[in-house]
Amino acid sequence: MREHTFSSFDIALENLRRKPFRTFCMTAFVALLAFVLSGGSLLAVSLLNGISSMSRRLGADALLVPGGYERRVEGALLRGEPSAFYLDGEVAQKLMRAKGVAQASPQLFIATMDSAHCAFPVQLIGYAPESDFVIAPWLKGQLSEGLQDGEIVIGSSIDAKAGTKLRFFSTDYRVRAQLERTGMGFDTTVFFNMKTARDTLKECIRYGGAQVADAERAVSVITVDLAEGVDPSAFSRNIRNRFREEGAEVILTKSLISNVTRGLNALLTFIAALALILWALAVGVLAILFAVTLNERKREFGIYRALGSTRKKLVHIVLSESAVISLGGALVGIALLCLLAFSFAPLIRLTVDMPSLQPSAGTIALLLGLSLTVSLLTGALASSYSAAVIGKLATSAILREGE
Amino acid sequence: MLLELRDLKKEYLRQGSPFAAVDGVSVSVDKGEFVCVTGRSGSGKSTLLNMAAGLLKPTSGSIAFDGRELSKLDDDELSFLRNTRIGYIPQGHSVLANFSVLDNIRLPFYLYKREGNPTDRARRLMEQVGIPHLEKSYPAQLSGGEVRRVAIARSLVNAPQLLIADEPTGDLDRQTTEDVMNLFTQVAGDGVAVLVVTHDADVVRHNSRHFSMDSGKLTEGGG
Repeated sequence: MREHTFSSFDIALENLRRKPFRTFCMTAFVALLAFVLSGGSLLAVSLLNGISSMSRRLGADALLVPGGYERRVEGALLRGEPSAFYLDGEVAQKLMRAKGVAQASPQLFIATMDSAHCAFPVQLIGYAPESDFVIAPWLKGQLSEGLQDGEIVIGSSIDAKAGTKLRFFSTDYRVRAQLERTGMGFDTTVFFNMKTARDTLKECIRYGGAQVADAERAVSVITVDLAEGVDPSAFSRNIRNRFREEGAEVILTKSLISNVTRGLNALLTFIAALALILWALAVGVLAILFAVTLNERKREFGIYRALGSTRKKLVHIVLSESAVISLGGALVGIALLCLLAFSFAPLIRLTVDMPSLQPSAGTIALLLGLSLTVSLLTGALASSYSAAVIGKLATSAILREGE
Repeated sequence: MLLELRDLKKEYLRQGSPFAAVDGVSVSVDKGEFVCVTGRSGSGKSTLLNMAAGLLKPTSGSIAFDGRELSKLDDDELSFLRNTRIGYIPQGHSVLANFSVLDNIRLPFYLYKREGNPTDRARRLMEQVGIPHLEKSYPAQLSGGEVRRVAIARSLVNAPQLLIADEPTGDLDRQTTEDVMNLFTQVAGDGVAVLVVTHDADVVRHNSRHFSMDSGKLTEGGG
């Protein structure tokens, strides 16, 4: 005990210090709650951000792709899994002129190789600046003028800086800019214009990385904006019927997003249920621990009462103990979360297997603040019964002793 | 008169029927008086003491401390009165295990914001009760008699006008009992009113006034 201070807070601290195991268990419980609450909310907001970013980035109504490659297109777009697949150039031209198409633009996907002639395995996407309405608009924000031949723009997770060079299929490309995080596969994708993409595809073929009959006309994906009034489902049916033999398939971006959203909703429900169960458990277990502890300590509180402590002072002592436990636990839980979340963010993103985008620092601070508040309230709520009965219990403990 | 109990009654329900633990007790204690109440277990002594200390509300009757009616005080006022003007020694082991001997003794001073430092007075009281060497010890390291001396020193740290002790010699040997009662006599000699309840009739010789209690009724003298 320090000199000259016996405030409720000092007494509470001393009581906690003298019962280290009990204090540790209660603090650990609150830490677990804070960890799950802040971690769950951070993950949920990141995933919601990811979905929102994906909706913005996939600014087309439909994607026309080679039949049988739908999952790989999703993998490339959502998770940046390197894939290569090609439509015949003639078929691609027909698809772009199909009924119901308002505007269409080709993209060329190339998967680099894990070998000495490539910097690293990554997804390359070539786009046609003259017709593109998906990638070009958000590249425009970071490029004052379009990409020149031999130049690339890289996703936020690629380890290189603007002005440096990256080598793919023994050719060096100048990094013109790096994109901001999107939370989807584009973060690990390299973009270039169609001419550079075709040259790269030829090199890729030379190294045995792709088998394409006509590298000058091959197309991987056609992004399509539908004409006004065209029903996406009807368009989809029509394409499938007309191009059955050519092997073209339609991915409706709304369906793609709603598939991801469905998975996300299931995950969010799980997170919410887990947080709720843990919160109820925390309140219940802490309330029991406080009540049991109080019962053991009613004689001690009775002595305070006999010495002239008011009921309010006893309540302050109980609430101070719960506040110290809650605050300590919440800070430990949040610190652990920050340590894990920010150290292993890429690994967590891979494990979750969904588009995710870390919220802004302000939003993170708000979420952590909310978790802290909920943890503190949990402690207060759990100790409220003990605080409410402490005055009466303490007095009766002193009185009983004498009878 | 410092403490005046008038027609004090405390009833409890026992198996659905009212039962008077204290039944129509009237007694006055003045400054410097040493009053001892003896009686068997369950005779109502501790209930009487707890009412006098303001810890228990009577069913009927009145308690006045230095002219102030306790029933008219709220919990804050009553607690402050108990802290500043009444030294209370509860029955049994009544020191706090978490605090050292010195801190236990200083605790009542620090329960309210006050000017000054109680350490010198606490040390003087430790000298007075014969435990100056135990300042840094914790209650678990003390004997029963030493614990009782800590409780007595603690009850005196705020220089109370009334000292109330519930079975202060209950578990002590004859010599320690003698020492404790001599201490109370000394305290009374300093002008503090001392009200002690005990089932040990041997301590009566130290008292200026003796009451006995039986079935909630108080009788002056040996009963």
